[in-house]
Amino acid sequence: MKYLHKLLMGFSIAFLFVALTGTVAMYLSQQALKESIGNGFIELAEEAIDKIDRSISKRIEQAEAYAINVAGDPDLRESNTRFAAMDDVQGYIDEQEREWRAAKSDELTPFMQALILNPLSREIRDEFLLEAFYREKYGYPVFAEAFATNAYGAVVALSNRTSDYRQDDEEWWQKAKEAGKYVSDFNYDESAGVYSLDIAVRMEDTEGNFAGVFKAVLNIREIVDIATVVHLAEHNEEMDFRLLDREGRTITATDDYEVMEAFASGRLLPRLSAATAGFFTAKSSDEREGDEFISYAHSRGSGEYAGNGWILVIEHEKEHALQPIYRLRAILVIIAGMSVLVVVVICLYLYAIVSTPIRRLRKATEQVAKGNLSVKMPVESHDELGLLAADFKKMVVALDASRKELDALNKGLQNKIEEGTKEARKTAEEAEKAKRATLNMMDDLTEAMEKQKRLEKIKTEFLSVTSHELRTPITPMSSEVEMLLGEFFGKLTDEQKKSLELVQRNITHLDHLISDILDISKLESGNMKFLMKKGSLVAVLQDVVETMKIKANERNISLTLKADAIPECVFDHDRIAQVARNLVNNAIKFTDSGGEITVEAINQGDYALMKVSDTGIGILKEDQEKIFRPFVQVDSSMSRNYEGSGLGLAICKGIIANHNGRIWAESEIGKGSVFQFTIPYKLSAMKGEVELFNYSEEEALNRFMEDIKKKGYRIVQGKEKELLGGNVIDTKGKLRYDLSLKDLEEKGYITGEDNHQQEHIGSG
Amino acid sequence: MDDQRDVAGTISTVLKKHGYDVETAYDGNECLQKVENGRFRLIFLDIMLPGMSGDAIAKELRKTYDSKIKIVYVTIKPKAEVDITDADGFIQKPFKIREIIREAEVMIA
Repeated sequence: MKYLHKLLMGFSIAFLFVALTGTVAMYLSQQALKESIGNGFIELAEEAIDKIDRSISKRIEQAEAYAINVAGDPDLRESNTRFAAMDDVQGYIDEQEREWRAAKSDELTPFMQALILNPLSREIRDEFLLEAFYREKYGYPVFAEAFATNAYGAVVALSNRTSDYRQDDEEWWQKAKEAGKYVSDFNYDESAGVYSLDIAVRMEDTEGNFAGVFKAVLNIREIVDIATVVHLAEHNEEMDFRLLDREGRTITATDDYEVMEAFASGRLLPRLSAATAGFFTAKSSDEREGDEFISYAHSRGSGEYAGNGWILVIEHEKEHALQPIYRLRAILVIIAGMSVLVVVVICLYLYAIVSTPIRRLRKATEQVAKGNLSVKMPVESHDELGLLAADFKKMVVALDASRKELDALNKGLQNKIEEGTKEARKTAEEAEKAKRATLNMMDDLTEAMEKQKRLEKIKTEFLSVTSHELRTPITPMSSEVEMLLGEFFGKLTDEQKKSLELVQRNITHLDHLISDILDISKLESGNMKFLMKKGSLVAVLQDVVETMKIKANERNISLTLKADAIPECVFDHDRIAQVARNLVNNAIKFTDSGGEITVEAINQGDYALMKVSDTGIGILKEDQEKIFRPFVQVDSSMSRNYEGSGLGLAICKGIIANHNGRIWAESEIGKGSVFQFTIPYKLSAMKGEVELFNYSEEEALNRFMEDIKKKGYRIVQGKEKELLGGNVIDTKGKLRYDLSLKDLEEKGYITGEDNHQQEHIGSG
Repeated sequence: MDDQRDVAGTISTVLKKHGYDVETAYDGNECLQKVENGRFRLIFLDIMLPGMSGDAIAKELRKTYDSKIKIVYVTIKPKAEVDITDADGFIQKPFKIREIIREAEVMIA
């Protein structure tokens, strides 16, 4: 939401409150104003009716005052006395009444004439009516007529001709006799020819006895004049006056026939009678006109006159009467509109005042955010925004300063770095050169090494392949020669035999050579397979010594075996035999006739130490290690004197190493040599290719049993453990055991079926 | 059975001299075919052969004839490198004539 909207909303809410309060205030003030306007009209009405009342009261007082005069008149006294003396008063009165009524309206009977012309009548006419005076003063007579009756209701004196002689049957007469005086409502006096008001006063003699009634007829015009005067005095043409009697009949009205009609129909009368004075608005019966504002006041009387229930009504066009209210309302609306305008303008002005610096500040902030610290602060007022701007400026200045510092620092640092970099670059270049050289060297080296490796591989592969290939043709050759020598194809001469023996010897030699090459290549490439099984080292040595004894004896060399009790252990029987044979063979080769060769097996606790000692030519100390390297013979001339591939000891070393053993030579030139090697008992200590008992013993046994059962044998009860202890070896998860079934049968481990041949029942 | 005719011939000669009825074969299919048509008790079997290897031939023979026909491997491979599960005997090349004769005597008792 924009600041302007917020501002406008705030002001709008405030304005709404003000407007609400204003409306309430206006309503209340309108009511008050209306009240006061109404009250003003009421006052006017009351003033008018009071004037009328006062006027009537004055006329009553006049009439009363005159009535006292009339009461003391001798004619009245004489009449009362005369009537009192009469036997039949009512009869006389009736007789005179009949005569009175019989006369025409414009006709005066002598009796009438006598009455009109009697001194009292004259007096009334001259003194009371004072026609000339009133005519002169008002332009019309105030009292239209006046007359007096005696105590019996008969007319005694009269100013004008009356319609009746007998008056005691009239209401005013009775009421005046009883109450002392009576004022009638307005009526049309036929005899007077005007709208009029009767005023009747009781007359008494000096003793206070009822003497008769004086009656004066008041001309209503005076009252009409009063109302008109009031009306004219107000100069208010929108206003109409109306005087109503207690029945709602219009006595006089300045105007407006229709409203009169409404009054006449009594539509408004109940509202007028509600209180002694008041005001209200009423719908005009004429639809073309607006509402009427009506105020009224009841007659309150004056002095002794108690009033006669008349009501003075002021009719006023509502619009005109309530003009001040409308004016007030108009003013208020104008003020409200102007306030709204002012508020909006103030809002816009405030928004401009507040938002412009904020906008500028924001722009400046954006600039600073972008990194432009030299931005100008445009806000310079002394309010909070100005302070904020000033603070911001300070901050920016501080920031600028610190950045400059930082820049300077950076520059310094950069310079240093550049210097350093230059130096470093030099050094780096040198280093790069050196590195490149080294890398080249290393590349060369790597290349060379890879080449070497490749060559090695090629060599190994070549050796392995070619030796196979070479050996293959040897097989039929040696067999055929053997068959020839075995005289399969007929008798041979000694020469032929010698020749074939030479061929055979060389074939064997060639085979050994190839075999050695094959072995060394396998050992070097790690492809040599070993057939590990548990057995007696001593037995193997015995075999070797046994077979080699023949050769030793041929050369008159003694060969003896000295063996400790060596525990059975795991080893490749053929390969260990090969090692032993090789060592013994070498000993024989390098020992002169009559020499001694001793083969020893010594139990060293954890391992067996085998020694082959001779009394031969011996080996130089510096050669004692060399001889275990492939294709090395101490003296190259040796190979001719002592036939051999030069690989034998290297192969021995490989084999022993694969048993985790050690092989070495100790020698003294001329005294003889001692070749020794060790075989550890615990094969679990062996590293490399061969691992034993990857399976648990139980598992290995189970596999063994299964395998035997497959072959149709049955395990003899209770022999499993023994069998396992003696013969089952597991290598790399593969079961290896190398006992013939015949052996097993003989030892009582299994009972067989029909197969009694020596049989290998399995091998990894 | 040997792909090298000379070897097969030598073994054949040796055995014939000792009074055995001998037939030679030079590949796996020929071997299986001959076994099917004849009544053989012992087969000297080379392992490294072109096509079907000696192991595979042995497996096939075992499947069909179980242990009625004995099998002896005659190979250049050292014993440690050979799986002899399906064989009854093993002779390392180059062999001695007496090894052939002994195996024959043992297998055909």
